[in-house]
Amino acid sequence: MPQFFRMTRESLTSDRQAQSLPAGRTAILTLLMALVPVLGPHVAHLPAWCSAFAALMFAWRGYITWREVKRPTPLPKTWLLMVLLVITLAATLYTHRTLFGRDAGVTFLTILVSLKLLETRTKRDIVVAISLSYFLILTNFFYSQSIAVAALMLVALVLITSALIAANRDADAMPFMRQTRLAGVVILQAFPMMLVLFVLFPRVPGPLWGLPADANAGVTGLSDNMSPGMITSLSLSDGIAFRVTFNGAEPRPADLYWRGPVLSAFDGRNWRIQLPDPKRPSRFEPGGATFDYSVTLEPSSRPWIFALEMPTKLPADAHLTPDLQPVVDKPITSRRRYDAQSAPQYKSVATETQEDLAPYLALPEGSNPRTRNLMAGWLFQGRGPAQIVDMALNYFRTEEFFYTLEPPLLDNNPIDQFLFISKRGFCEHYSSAFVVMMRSAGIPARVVTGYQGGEINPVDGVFTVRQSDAHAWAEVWLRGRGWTRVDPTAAVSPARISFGMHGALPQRFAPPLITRFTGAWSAAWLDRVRFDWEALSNRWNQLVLNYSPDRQRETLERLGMKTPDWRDMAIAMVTGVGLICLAVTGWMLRTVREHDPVERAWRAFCKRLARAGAPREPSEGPLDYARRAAGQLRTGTADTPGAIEAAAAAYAALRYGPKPDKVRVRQFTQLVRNFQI
Amino acid sequence: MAALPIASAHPKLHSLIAQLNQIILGKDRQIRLAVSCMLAHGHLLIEDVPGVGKTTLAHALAKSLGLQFQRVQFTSDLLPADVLGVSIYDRETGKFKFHPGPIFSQFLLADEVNRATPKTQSALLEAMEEQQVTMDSETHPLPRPFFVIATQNPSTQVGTFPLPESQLDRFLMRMEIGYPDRAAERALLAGADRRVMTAQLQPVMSVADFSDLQAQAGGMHVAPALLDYIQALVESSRRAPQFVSGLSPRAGLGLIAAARAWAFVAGREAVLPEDVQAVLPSVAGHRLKPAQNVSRAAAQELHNEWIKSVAIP
Repeated sequence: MPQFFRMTRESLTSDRQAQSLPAGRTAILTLLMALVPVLGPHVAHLPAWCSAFAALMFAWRGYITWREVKRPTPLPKTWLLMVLLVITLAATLYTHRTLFGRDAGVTFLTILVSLKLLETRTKRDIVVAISLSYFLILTNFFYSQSIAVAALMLVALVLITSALIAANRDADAMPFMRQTRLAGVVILQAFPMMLVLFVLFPRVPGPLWGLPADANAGVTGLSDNMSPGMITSLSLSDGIAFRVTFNGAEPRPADLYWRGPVLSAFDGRNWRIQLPDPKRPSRFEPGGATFDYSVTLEPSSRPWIFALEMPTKLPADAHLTPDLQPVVDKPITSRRRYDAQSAPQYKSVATETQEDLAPYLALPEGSNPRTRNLMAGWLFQGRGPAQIVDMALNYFRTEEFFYTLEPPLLDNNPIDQFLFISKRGFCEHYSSAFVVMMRSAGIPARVVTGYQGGEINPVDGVFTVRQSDAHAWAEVWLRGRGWTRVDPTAAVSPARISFGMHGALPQRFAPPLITRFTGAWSAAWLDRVRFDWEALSNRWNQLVLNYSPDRQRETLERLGMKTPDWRDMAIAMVTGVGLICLAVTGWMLRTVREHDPVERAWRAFCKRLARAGAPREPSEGPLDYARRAAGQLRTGTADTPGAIEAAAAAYAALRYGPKPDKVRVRQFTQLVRNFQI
Repeated sequence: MAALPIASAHPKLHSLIAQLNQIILGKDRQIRLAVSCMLAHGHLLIEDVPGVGKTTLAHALAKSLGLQFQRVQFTSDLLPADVLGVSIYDRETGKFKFHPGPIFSQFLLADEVNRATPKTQSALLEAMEEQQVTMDSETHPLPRPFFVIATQNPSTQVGTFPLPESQLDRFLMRMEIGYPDRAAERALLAGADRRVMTAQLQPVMSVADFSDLQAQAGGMHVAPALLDYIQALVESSRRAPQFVSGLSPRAGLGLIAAARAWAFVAGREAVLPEDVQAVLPSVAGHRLKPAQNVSRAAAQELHNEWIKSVAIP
């Protein structure tokens, strides 16, 4: 039996060598080049050993291909590749603890494509490697669907197609540029088909391709709890939280409080959402102007959305919790667009009883004693709740408090430490301390997190709210006024609210790279470029990434398909693809297209005569033809034969005469147009 | 081929053709072809049975153009020297003196050229091509203009040496005259003696006039579209399996020159595909040898089919 196996393998090997192709060299080099943009973005999330391994394998393959020109260079033995495969598989398992899921899958595919290249001998092998590379393009979209990645993948697509072309030109390799240009043309030709499939292919709700569950892991954003330093770290992120387009007027910057999680449970250090919710919902009456807007929310894996205080209209699947936090039924796992309406000049209505308010007064036993003492002192002075609120804000204003991104670490009794010792903090410190102060003084209070401000793009009027706009403020319940917003950060740093975070921070802080340019020292053109870019990526989000089942239905309705179901879509898709195929076929089968108006008119003229019964022989000169046709035709008036011969003579003069005169061309085309038969 | 307009834009050319038409009856097309051939600086081979007017046409042409005319009857014992001339020792001067042969004329009629031996034939044809005669390392240029009209009997006749393709290529055109139609024949029979009529012909133009017409014909406009057609013809002839070999570049040049002359005679503004087709059988007929040995009529049919198969671009 071993003998038998050896024979089979040898015959296979010799067969393979017989098939090895010179054009394969170009194909392999092109593919190696194409894999740079395909795998480049993955380096950021592949394990370092995997990137290094792939780079090494590519270099090895490149070296072999380069050396092959001078002398035959064997590819590594199969057993060696097997050993490498086992080792790297083990490493994958060790790194990711699994072979499935997004990260492990990409690692695995990267290893496979690197090893496949080292055993690529025949045309079939390289086609397999090319197909694998096409699939690897897709994996990049598991991580990012930005314009930059899409553009890079387009480059990769053209390069891989170029490799495919090279692989199929068996003997005669094309120059690289020509082959790549051809690949570009091929991709361009596929564009209408892509457009039809994009618009009409039935959409499934949820993220593109049903991303693996870990696709949104590590997404930054507000969470359901707040501890000192959390928003600080968030504020260092350039990440976009959501984009807003106002339909009509925009609110004042100071009114741009985007309400998110409302935190009312405190354990002495961390703030959490109160569970279970208080029974009686907080109430408010919309007053003053209302603003309509649509929000495009980035995926956060959290079941809440953001709306301006206070929302009067929300999407159908959203509602307000008793704490007035807008939430939805399911976590937001894909970018989502919704319409909302808000009334920033709302008036709270105080309907709560003592019982309802009890949770907003709770403080852990024995925590932060100095704060309690301070508040007990103020209460002892006989101050009312409204006065105590003012005193607290005044305390922040008059004592040496600083608004800083580098607060010192706080350990036990963080509120005491912050209020009396460090006096340096970010918005979460101020809001947290303020609420504790209020509760110590018997005033119901809660922390509200969300985003404050946002930046308007003058190019398309879209507000962009970034993670760095994350903010925390407070609400106190006052008799007769209900829940009232108090922003202690504004007391310390009014600029934070008026000019955004970077107006409030000393310059030595290094805010995120992008937002750094928004400060007063930024160059105007840079702003301009940034705004243009953001407008473009917003358009990309709206038109491409956010093309959800709903948007698809809207589009199809606009195209005249009322209540489209999947069957209509399938029919439309097949029709569209069929039409494109037909057009392409027609274009390929077209006879020489006439650019010359004279020739076009002459052909139309001949066609008309042919329909009347006198088709032109291909080898017949115009005068001969006209004479024959004039004698042959029985229809038409007495002038018809003369008209035919005149037209032919005019054509002959234009086509074979010395100078094509524009006037005569027009006369001729007119003559033909007016010709009746 | 459709009837052609009789009128010509050039009065002298018109009177030339009209005068020839009085001698050779009912052969307007052949007369125009012969005139076109001369306008295109080409030599003409007339191939037909005896007695259809080959010699008369040649003679009438020479007379009407006022050209110095020589006629050589080719026979199997004709020697090159009989055509080109001979150097004879002159006792008085003690030197050889060149006595030019009949080729030293403006218009040579080489009658029944296929009856001479190949040696004599090639002597004539080489002189035709080079427009000069070289003898005893002395070069004697032929007079200008210089035309040769050779006639030949159908090569199937006994005692002939058919001209090889390489020699045939030196004639711009080969044509047949054919029997006259009934009316023309009647007029011929009823009319005066052609020989007398020819002898009485007066030149309708000077040699200078004819050179001028030649220059004008050579300046006829040829559009790129027409060149496309000529190229298509030439290329098609090289691919056509029914011919031994295709048209040479010289044949292509000849085709353009002949078509120009024809268009000029027809009084056109520019050369049309019709003009190319009008001269094509005469220009290409003797250059495209059928791959199979077929009769004259079948060969002609082959040519017509080929012309029809080439579309005008």
